[in-house]
Amino acid sequence: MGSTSTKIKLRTSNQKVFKVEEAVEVQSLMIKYFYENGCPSCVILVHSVSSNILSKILDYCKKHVNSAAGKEDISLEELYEWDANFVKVDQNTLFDLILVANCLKIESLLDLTCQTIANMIKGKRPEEIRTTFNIKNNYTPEAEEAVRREKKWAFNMLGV
Amino acid sequence: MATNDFISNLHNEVLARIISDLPAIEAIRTTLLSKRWKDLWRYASRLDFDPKGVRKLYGDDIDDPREEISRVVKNIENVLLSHKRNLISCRIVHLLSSCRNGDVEKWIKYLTSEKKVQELAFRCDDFQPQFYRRSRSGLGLNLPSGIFSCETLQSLEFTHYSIRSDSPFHHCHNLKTLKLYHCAISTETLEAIVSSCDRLEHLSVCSSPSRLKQVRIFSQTVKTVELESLRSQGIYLSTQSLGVLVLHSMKFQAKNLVIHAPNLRVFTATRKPITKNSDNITKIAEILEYCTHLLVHWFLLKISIVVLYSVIYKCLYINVWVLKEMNS
Repeated sequence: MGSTSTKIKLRTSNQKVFKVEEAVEVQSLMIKYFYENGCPSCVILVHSVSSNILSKILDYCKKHVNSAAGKEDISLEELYEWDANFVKVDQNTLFDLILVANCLKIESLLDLTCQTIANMIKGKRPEEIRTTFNIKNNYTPEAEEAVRREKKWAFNMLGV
Repeated sequence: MATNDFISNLHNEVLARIISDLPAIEAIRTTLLSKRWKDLWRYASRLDFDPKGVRKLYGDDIDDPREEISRVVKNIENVLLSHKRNLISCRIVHLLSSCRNGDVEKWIKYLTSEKKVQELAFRCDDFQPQFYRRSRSGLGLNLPSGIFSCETLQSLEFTHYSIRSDSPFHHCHNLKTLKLYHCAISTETLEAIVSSCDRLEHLSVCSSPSRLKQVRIFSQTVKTVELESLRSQGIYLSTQSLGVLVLHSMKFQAKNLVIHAPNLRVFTATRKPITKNSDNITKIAEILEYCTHLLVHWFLLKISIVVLYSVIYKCLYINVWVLKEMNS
């Protein structure tokens, strides 16, 4: 796979076409799947994602492939730190990263970004989570109360 | 703060993945966010029923961990029944009563047969050493023979149990990882468990409250062995496959360290910071002294010994890396 010249391309919403570099090939299960199923030259549309996101994804894949191959002298702790800095971005970017990671099936990046979102949810009241992500509460007050009652034990861990 | 509801643009599958990274209680609380979120938690691939560290939403600051655990435990069955997909991992923290009333057995059976769980972790949170000494039964895990022999189960972790028999581990052909933390176990039981699990690759045994006569491990598959804070007279390891051995703060007679592991690459011996009470912990220098026969045995191997004195933590680490010389 690595030896074939790359023919799969990604096209973003602003019509930029990206050649898939080897680093992404290695990390993306989707692109692996395309190769293995005899589709070595095609253009994958990555919806509503800017070229900035794709170049960020490329950075991520390169970093991880190089460190795994020992091309870059970086300890596991340093890589964690790099990852932690990588996801210090605004929500918009973070969700775009998730969309692309999910579309290209880059598992480790999907884990990293989902974990980041989970950490933003952890320890918050439902109302606080709604504010953080601007989730619109479309329950009627009665329906909300019913949900609360049904899972009472999880909402009030002590007492009533 | 977000101005758009980006999170709701994500596929259900991705949202379920995010929810899988939350403790089970918080995962279930997401039902309240909006209708979209109502059933998402049912597709989480991991459930961790540990109330510790989960923020209380309402009410006072009464802090009774036992009360919280029993509240969660009462609801585990319902949660599992309304959860809708197979589980990668499940972790349950419970009290002594769940060992006695058969809950633990029921959960294990359900999780392995219906949920095809791959990683299981159990922790009995009101284990007290005096209970263990006083009662010879009731505290132990009385599980049926072969209960862990299911096809999907790869990793098992137990914290604070008394493991009296190897029979639950019979026919355990798929288990790769076994971790026993603070578990009372005998030399014979541990040895029998390891030989029952004939695909075992990683074994950790830490802080057994009982005194192990010996630690005896004979296995054709185990790749890493980690032993920590155990009291025993000797350690006997005979395994072709062993690549990594870690001994941490062990109390044993260094002359009884017998290792037959021709493929050992990494041997790490460490001990806790030196305190008044740690006099009995075997000194690293002593371990090394009795390991020299290994070094002779590995005559054709390139050996590097690195001794690091960590002054800050007053720890003493010895790492012996044995690197197999490349044939070329």
